[in-house]
Amino acid sequence: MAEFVGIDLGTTTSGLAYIRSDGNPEIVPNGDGERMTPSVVYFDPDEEVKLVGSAARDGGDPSRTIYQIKRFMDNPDYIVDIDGKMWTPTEISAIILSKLSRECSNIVGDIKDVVVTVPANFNEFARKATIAAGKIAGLNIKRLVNEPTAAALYYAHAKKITGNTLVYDLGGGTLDITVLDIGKYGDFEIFTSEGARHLGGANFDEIILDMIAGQYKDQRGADLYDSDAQKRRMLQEGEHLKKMLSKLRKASETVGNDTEGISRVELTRDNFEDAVDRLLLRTEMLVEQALLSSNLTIDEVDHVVLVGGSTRMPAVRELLERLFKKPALSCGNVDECVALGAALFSKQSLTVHEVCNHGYGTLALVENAETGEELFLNTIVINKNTPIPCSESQTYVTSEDNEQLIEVEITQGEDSDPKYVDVIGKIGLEVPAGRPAGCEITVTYAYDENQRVKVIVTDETTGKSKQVAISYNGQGVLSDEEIERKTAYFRNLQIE
Amino acid sequence: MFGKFTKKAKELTQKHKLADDLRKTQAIATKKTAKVEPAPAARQVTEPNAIKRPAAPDPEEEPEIGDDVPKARAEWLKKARKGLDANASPEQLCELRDGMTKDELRSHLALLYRRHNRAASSLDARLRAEADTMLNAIVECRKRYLS
Repeated sequence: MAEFVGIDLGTTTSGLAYIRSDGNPEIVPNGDGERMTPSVVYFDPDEEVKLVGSAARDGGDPSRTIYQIKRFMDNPDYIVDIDGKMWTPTEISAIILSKLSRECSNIVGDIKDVVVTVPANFNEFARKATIAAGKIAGLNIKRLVNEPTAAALYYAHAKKITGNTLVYDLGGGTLDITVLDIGKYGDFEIFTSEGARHLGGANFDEIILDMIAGQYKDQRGADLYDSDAQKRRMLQEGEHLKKMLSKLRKASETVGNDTEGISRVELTRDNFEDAVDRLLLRTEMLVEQALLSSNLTIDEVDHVVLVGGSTRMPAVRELLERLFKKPALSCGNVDECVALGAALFSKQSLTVHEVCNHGYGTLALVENAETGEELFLNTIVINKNTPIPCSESQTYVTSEDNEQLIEVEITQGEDSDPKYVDVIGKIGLEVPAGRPAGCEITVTYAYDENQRVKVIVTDETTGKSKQVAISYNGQGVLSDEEIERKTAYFRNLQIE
Repeated sequence: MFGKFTKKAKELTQKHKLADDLRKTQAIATKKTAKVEPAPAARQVTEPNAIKRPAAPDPEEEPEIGDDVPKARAEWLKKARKGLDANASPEQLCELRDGMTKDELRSHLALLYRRHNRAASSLDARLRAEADTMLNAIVECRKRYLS
């Protein structure tokens, strides 16, 4: 049995690593001999088998192929309809995890307990969905770890770096910036993790696709694509061009479709970088936000490390080197370092002090003691970047006489304006009738190492309390019973 | 209604820094009419066969605010339901005002970026769409005035 296993369940590719007997992590190739498996699932119309990886990405009908499902893991309403059968992002992810664990176990032995990585900015719902995906795939996710944290562990292990480190993780679907202190004795203190959803390699691919489509239209007077399937094929061509432009100053590609014919398009790195400069600026603003959150200046950052395939773009490296006035470090395998770090994490030979990646609070009427003005606000109980595990309480008072049902809305987010936070749960606590306004209610939030939150509401007058398990509504949400049922179903599901 | 939460003014001020800063800026915002080319959006990759989240509810069709809703919450709700002005320039969306120094502009945009970057991963589809528009506007302003 493989004892220490880490899985990077990525937007565009996924990988599994384990700890060798010499203590070093190693990527385990899948059954197709690939070190990283494209996170793509193909549903064949004739056969029961579900294809995952390169075969799914390159060979199948794009209309029956699911790409980048991770981008929808945080969306409770998102489901995919294949031949009338509905698949949630959790199940699609479970198919990918099953492929990895089944095929890699042929090389390293049975795989059961694993550490799985998630973007630092994954919300409560997406984390819960990832744990469910592991369970459906027959795995026990003993810990979720943030991708930049895992990558930092690998850099510390491989490059022997110590000190204040900024991890710039530009993956296929998201950007995560984490600032942490890597101690001399293998202890890690995370200062902050900031993330940008839907800002990743795919966004750069879309822009390059626009450029190609523009040239094609100029040459042929026709649209390059008019269906999702054609667009998917052209996106792949665009991605190839992007990769070429990371190494060459100029690259060309033949593109086209069956009805309008083919054309040769040519792009230069300069043109591409001009076109993506707003995306790069967004990433720069996230770096600044991370520095602000961690109370560090640019000069106080000892190392900047690169993670994720999109950091191969020269403009990314140039941006960071211009900002920090020092070379950005690359471990050479920027696609694999998250999985390798997850395996290191699973061994738990390192001490990692993580922080809350979100603030948690409650909606309340807040009275300004000086002016008497009453406002409806989100009041934060646990601040973002509080070291975890942690537990914090806040006492509120009832606002009306004879309140018999105390309703507490649980929020995730750092903003005081309720518009900009998510209400992720509600607790109703019944209390005796006839009480005056002003009865104290304590709300306690406990935050565990998996970045999951528990809430307890206590009526201080009666001592009555209620704990809430945060639940979500939506057609893509699986109940515990459904997860059990699907776990059994997956045992016999053919996945190649 | 659940708790009224009383805090001393000093703590209240600290807690409300973000909202207060934004309100202050809004109050003195200058309406500019400069026409701006739309910034490239961070688009979602099209997923075949995907059943997407239902369209955001039309604000016109949202239920009326009942009498049982506390006044402060009702006022907030009315304000929160207002969408973005589709014809607003990036400067208007970001509520920039004449005479802002570069430092003020930088910190104001950073504040807005933090808020809307967070909103981009909201569970609320309408807010996510609004956040995307705002992030494009923020980046456009930053590029125009600070690059």
